[in-house]
Amino acid sequence: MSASVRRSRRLLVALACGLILATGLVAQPVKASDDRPYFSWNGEPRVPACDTPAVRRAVAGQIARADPDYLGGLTIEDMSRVVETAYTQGRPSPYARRFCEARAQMSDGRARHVYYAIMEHSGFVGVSWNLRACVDGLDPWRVYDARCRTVRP
Amino acid sequence: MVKRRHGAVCRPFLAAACLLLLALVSAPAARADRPGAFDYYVLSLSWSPSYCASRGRNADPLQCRAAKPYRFIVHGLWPQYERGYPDFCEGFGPRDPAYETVRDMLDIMPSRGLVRHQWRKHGSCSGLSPDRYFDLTRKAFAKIRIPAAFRDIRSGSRMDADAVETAFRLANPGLRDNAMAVSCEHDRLSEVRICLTRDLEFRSCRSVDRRGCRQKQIHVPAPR
Repeated sequence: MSASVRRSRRLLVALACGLILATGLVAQPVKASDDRPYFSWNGEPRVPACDTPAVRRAVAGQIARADPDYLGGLTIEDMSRVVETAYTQGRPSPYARRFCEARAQMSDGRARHVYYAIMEHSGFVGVSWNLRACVDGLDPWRVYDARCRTVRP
Repeated sequence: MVKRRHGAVCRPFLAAACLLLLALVSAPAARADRPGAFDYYVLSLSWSPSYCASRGRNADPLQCRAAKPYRFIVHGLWPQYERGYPDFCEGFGPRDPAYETVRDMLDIMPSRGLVRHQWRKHGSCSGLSPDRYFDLTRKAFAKIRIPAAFRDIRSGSRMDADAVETAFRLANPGLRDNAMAVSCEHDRLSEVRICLTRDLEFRSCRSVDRRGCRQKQIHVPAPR
């Protein structure tokens, strides 16, 4: 057998292997996609728990980033009494969502109630989780509807 | 024949007489529960994994489906007489606590139904407003140190009912064996009840202590 034939056969085998691997990888999440998006490889927990440090930072960060016109420049200094009120998936959206509430100590010295929903694949270009937070009584523009309805279960 | 008919006529009278007697006997016992007129409090702590295991699918999802499982939660703060206890003192205060009041208790009483029920059955007899009553409940719970063994238990185990009491006694200086009771249900640890004065100091309470678990060994299911 000549060297060129051997080389082309090796190339063919490599191509076939690559094809099988690729289809396997693509097909895998599709098979397990009863209650998850077809492209999702997220393991459990699909979204972090309500009182993880990353989530606490994200809630405080989102409130702190709000336009001063909207919240009057108030920020969250501490969060306590964190409760998970619901966890949904496939109802009807395949994205997992966790709904949480907490008592927020705010920079004006008052304690308020903050609601937040952590959602799967809602980060930058849908890669990671993200959340929406709404402080009860501090949503004058009704961004989250009355009494923070859209971030409550 | 005649005798039997006579008996048949007599029976309703006899029943009526019995009922009357019962009513007479129980009338003085049925005292009117006046809110605020009671002797001490019992703080009842419920081992959440036992509740979730025994109720299965009927359990409150808020309490039993959370990503971070609950361990000891507050069942309630119950006003007590030296013997017996007042309940459902209706006509005093609102029938239901405000939505915000219920919401703010969910971290230590993770069930809205439970919070409302505790107000109706026990809180209404405390003579306090719902806000004050639940603040007091929170204060009472903050006073109790949950033993480390229950704070970081990972797997289920069998335990002496007395060992549970000992663990609480060691974690809480001033708390004695006769000031608390461990209760069990279906062979599982269900509650730890602790007696407190109206100023939330530990105190002994024979009637509560006596109603404790009669089993020697009980199962302590793990938070899942």
